Amino acid sequence: MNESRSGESVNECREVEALLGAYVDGETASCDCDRVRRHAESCACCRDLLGAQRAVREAVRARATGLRACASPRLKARCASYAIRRRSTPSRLPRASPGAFVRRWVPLSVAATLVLAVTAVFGFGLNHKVQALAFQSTLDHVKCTRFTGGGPPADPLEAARQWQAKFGWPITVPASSGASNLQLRAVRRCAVTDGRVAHLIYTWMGEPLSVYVLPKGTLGDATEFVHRFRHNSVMWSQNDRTYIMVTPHGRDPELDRLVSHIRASAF
Amino acid sequence: MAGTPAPGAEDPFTTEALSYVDSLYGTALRLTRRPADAEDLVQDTYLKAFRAAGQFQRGTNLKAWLFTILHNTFRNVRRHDGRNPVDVDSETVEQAADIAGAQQTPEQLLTRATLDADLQAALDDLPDAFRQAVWLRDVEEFTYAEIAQMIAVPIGTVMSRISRGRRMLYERLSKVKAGAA
Repeated sequence: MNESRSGESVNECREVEALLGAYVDGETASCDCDRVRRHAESCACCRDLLGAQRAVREAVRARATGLRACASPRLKARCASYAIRRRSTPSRLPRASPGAFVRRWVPLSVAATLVLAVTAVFGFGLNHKVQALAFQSTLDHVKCTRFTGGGPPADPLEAARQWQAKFGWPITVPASSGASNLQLRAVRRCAVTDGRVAHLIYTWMGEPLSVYVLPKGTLGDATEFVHRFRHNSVMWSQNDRTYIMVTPHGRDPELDRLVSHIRASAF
Repeated sequence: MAGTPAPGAEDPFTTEALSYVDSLYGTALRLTRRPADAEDLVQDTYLKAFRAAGQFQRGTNLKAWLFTILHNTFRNVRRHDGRNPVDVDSETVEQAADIAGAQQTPEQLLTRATLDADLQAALDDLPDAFRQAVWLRDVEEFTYAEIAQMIAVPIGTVMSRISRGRRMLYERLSKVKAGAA
């Protein structure tokens, strides 16, 4: 143990050390085992390191069960419910009804603002798009979420499935988040846009939050923030979709954290 | 390919996938360090897995497939957070004290008497990249190739992270032992 390495062998020791884990794991495809064996025969330091690798490996494996955490019954039930949704076929899904995931009725004035929003995405330059989308989506959010009750949490897989069955283009519906205090409430379409804009309605920390999904990605990967009419609009494009999130409150770091969750969940 | 069975029918894909929820949660907890974030991560993993069930190649390792989804999701969350999920393989390990100087062999020093709590604390204390590699290998028992695919790094990097991670773990546990003596 006390034998020190000579200067000439330091580099060799360093290179061999990176192989020791694979050597004790028997990962012979990744590791030059003969080189490790030869070196360890002549280098006491590396022999000790090899012993340390074995000791740690054994200690961790012996305690693997105790080291693992158990998922809560609530989490297990939620994950299992997604599997049940998977087993449902579209023809067996319940029809949308008032209060269900897809609602048809939208005030005409709201629909008109979204026509402008869609035009903005498809027609304007980037700066104008961002400003126009923030403006229109905030107005829509204010008007539309007035009619949204609390209701039970909605199922993201079910909502996405119903959307695709009705409108023919897929959306990914970000799930609720316990960490971010976010609950999915409903997924709607806007009558005048004829299914070209999906309106995902959430509650976030008790307040309504909207995520609009448009079937074209024109904003780029960067996240644009706009503060208008006491609301934050956050927008970006990913996977050939444009997302606009509107919320009446939230400041760093909560808002950043929420955007991270929605972006990752929408992937 | 994993097909969609009729409702009520036996579904081996689902049964097997759900049997890994504790493993996925334990790994998510090591990555995020917060139970609420870990639950979100596992939930998103299953959502994505069931959405993409048709893409799973039957006969391949379902557990590794789920873990790959989990790590991809985690990387996406961190990327949008502006944080890198994996520490750069720093030189700190190279500068760590040599094992030389200890008076016992490693096997003697790290006996089964090492407390679970000490091991847990030492693991939690490792830099993210090294903890992740050691965890996937020694707790979840994935192969080096599977780990490389999961965390999207070359296999040589996995090899080096496991070796260095175990060495750091050994040094931390040795200090705990020395302190308790």
